[in-house]
Amino acid sequence: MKNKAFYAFFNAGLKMARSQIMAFSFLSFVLIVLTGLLSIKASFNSTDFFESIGLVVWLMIGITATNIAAGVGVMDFNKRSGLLVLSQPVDRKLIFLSRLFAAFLVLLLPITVLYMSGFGMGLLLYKANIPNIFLSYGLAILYAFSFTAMVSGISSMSREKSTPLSFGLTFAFLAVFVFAIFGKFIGMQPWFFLPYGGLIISSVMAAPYLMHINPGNYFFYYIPYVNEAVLIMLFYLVIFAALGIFYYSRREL
Amino acid sequence: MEIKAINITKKFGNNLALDSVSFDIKGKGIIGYLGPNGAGKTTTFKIFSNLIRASSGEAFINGINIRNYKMALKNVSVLVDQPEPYEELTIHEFLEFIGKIRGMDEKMIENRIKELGRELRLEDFNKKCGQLSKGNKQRVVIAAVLLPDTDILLLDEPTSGLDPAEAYDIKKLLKKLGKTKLIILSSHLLDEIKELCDYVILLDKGKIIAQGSINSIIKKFGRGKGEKGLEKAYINLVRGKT
Repeated sequence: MKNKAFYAFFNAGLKMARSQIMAFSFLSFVLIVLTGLLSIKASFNSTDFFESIGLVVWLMIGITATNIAAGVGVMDFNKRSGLLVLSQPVDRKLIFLSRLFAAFLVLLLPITVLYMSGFGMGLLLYKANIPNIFLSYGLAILYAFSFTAMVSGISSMSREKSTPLSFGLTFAFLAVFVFAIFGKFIGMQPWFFLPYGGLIISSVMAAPYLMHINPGNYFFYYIPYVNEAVLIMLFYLVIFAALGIFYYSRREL
Repeated sequence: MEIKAINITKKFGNNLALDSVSFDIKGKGIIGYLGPNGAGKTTTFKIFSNLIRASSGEAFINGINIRNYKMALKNVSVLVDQPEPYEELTIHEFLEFIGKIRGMDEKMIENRIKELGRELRLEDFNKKCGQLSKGNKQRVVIAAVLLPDTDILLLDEPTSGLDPAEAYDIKKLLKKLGKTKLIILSSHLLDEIKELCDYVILLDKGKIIAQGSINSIIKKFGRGKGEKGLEKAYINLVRGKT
């Protein structure tokens, strides 16, 4: 029964995200094509183009993960569906985890679209493959999972979906200012900040030109090493998934 | 089939929603759970369905403490505080989802969906729940509650939001189910209670103020000016004229 319940929640999670995920996959494709067109206009070389693609991937993961995961922890508590669903003899930990895994899975589609479109545009415009494509793809998936876990965890502590939504979007959009404040002004790596870990997606694509310290770069003064980035992402993944399970299991309706 | 409450108290901040509520209901039949708004009916149902936890006291279903909710709720279905189905799923997908989380196999789920579809006059199973009217959503929710065919049903105002014809179908179904199951029915509609229940528990301000067969309640508390009956007994009890 445990497995059946897990798959039931997992499948329902996939079905409920159908239209959202198609929209984000389409948007991902459009953004990569636009980046390619702008790169031609700005006479970018292939390194600049792939770095830009990496930054689009980084930003899109933040936006998509936020939208998909914002409802994971709160959807049964702020809507009347929870009155029926949470009164079933199913372990609440299992419900939260199945929803989290469904969010992980649906995110793979837009990420794959981003990389396939980037790969296609690279070949078309520069006759070059994305550098370290598999490493970057793997790191992008880890970043997506961490971002999803973070937003889901916050969602399980929130009264409304708008709280994790605004939190995640602020994290995604204002990240560069945090980088600038800590990197350029304070002279400290923002290692406590998940989007800093996610920067590795872009930097491995631009290798070997991007350095750990880039004095001339205002917003990306520091870039994490791969092992640092992986540690930051794993930390967020584990901590927020655990917090999410904890709060989801104990909440009253 | 047994539902048992031992001195259940529930506080929301300084507000005492339930004050040492105790009852022990055994066997089959339909039991009315009555009381004015804010009396604690929904709170009681929520405690028995693990949606909230009692501040003190114990709740048992078939002898299993609700703290072990995964076991205690196996043979119970709950309709509490007007739930809604997932808007993004079709009627069929939603009912199938409920069947699967209950551990039912595909064939059994399909048979029950067909059966309940006939009894509750559900149409167009491929329509998304978000596109349904309030009454149709309520019928889908009732179908979801009845789908697992449990021995105990806790139903909080099941006919709320339904038109008279839809409410008639539900009452007819409840009468049939009451012959083999234990149903605790909360309702504001005294005619509905009179029609369906043999035994009632009356709650006011978080306390049980009376319980017994409908006839005994009428006989004991239904006196006073005007028409005798359950309505008079109810008014006398909640206004303290007993």
